[in-house]
Amino acid sequence: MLRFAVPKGRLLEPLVELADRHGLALGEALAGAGRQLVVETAGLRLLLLKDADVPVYVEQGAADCGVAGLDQILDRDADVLRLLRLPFGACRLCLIAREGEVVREEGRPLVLASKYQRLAGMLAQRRGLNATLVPLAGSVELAARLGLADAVVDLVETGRTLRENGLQPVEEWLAVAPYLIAQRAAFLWKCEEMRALRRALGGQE
Amino acid sequence: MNAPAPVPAGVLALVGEQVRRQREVEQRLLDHLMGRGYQLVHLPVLEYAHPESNGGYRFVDTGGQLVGLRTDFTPLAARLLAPCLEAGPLSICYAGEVVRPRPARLRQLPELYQLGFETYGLDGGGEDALDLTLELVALAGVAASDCLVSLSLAGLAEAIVRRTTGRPPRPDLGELLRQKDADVFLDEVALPAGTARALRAALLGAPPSLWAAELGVAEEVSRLVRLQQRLAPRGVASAIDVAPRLAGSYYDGLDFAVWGRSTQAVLAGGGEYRVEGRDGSRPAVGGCVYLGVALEERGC
Repeated sequence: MLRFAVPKGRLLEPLVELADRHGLALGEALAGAGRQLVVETAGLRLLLLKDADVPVYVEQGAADCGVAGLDQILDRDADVLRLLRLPFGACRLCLIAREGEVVREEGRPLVLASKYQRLAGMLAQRRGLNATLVPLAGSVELAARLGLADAVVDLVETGRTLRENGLQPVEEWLAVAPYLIAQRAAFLWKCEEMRALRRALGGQE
Repeated sequence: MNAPAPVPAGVLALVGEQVRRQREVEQRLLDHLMGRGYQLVHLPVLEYAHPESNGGYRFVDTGGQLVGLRTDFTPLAARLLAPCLEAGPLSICYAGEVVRPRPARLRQLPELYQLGFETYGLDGGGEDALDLTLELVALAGVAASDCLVSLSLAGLAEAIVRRTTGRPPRPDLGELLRQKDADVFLDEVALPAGTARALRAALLGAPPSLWAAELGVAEEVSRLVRLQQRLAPRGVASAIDVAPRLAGSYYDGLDFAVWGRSTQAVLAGGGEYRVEGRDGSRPAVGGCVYLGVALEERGC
């Protein structure tokens, strides 16, 4: 039985819709789950996890496969296989600043706030920026608005929250999409089951 | 009584039955290799820091030189022994700890016990090295049905990039293949529909008849298919991995890894490579068992 790590956050609803559309009745199984975190259905053991934890469970083999955003995969530096890019939840990881402001180093390191400490640091370095990272747990937009940081690095889906807070995306740093991911050894041992799950999520062969 | 001295995270002192069992298996495996003509060597724990030992512990010795703890016997033995080679082949075996500060698995210790063999000056021979490695795995008590062998050839992913795109391979495209990310690969490189389908099939572990010819790697892959046919009657499962992540960077030919069913970890591996001998570059082949992982696989 495949152990399938399912994210409980923003990716859950579109994932269930996609699976249900392809005949993999996740919605029904999860509706009857109540507060259970492990649910069995149609040859799958569903593990309900926080979005950011999915790559960790999969990389370490506590789950065979799962669904996670590229942002979480890269921020966790998880060595997992990306079997299928899913057709929902696409967004951008952007450098964000106050409207009308230019983000420059000006003789001192930039201060960047982000939930993605490793990923933001890596992408800043790739752009040659000398940046000090401030790790924040949420509402990172405030850090730019209140001057805690020169800019923030965060996901932008529609940009509405930014506009309402007087902020704007300055640069797109990474295109982000959710993926069906797999643990390397589990993929070798359970290849046929993984391919069947991939097909059930709309993957072509 | 005083409390035991603290040790760095992830380090253990072993006592009793566990030690006895490991020593017993180690001796059985070394006896097997020496019985096959492999000469036992003892290699140093320290050497001057070398680019291939990246990721290992490094420090400055009393003379101000940068030295590193050994992370892998295969390149270490090649650097120390191959330059002294006479004309004929030399076969060696070894056993001991290597230290890898970032273990791949959470409960794995940084110290890995590596027991293996190398032959310098023998062309090809990867098939025999795989056979011998599987003999060692069996002698360590791991059942064939609990093993899966992943087979690859060094440079196969790069060959696929070169032949499908007609351009020199870009490192980022090779990396996408190692992550099996066909979607982003196909965003980067526009391929005809049939070739794109073949690429997906190759990455998803479909039979080579569905992709090898279309991707222009049928000749290379036929060697891997023959190896699979050798393994099947012995009850050993196998898979062709066109872009493995865990391969030693020094392999330049056949490259294999043996995965355990319950540990989900690599318990043995090996392949073909080249060494710099006294009179130029020479072929070499080797294999090894990670003894602790093998014992964990059999439930010890």
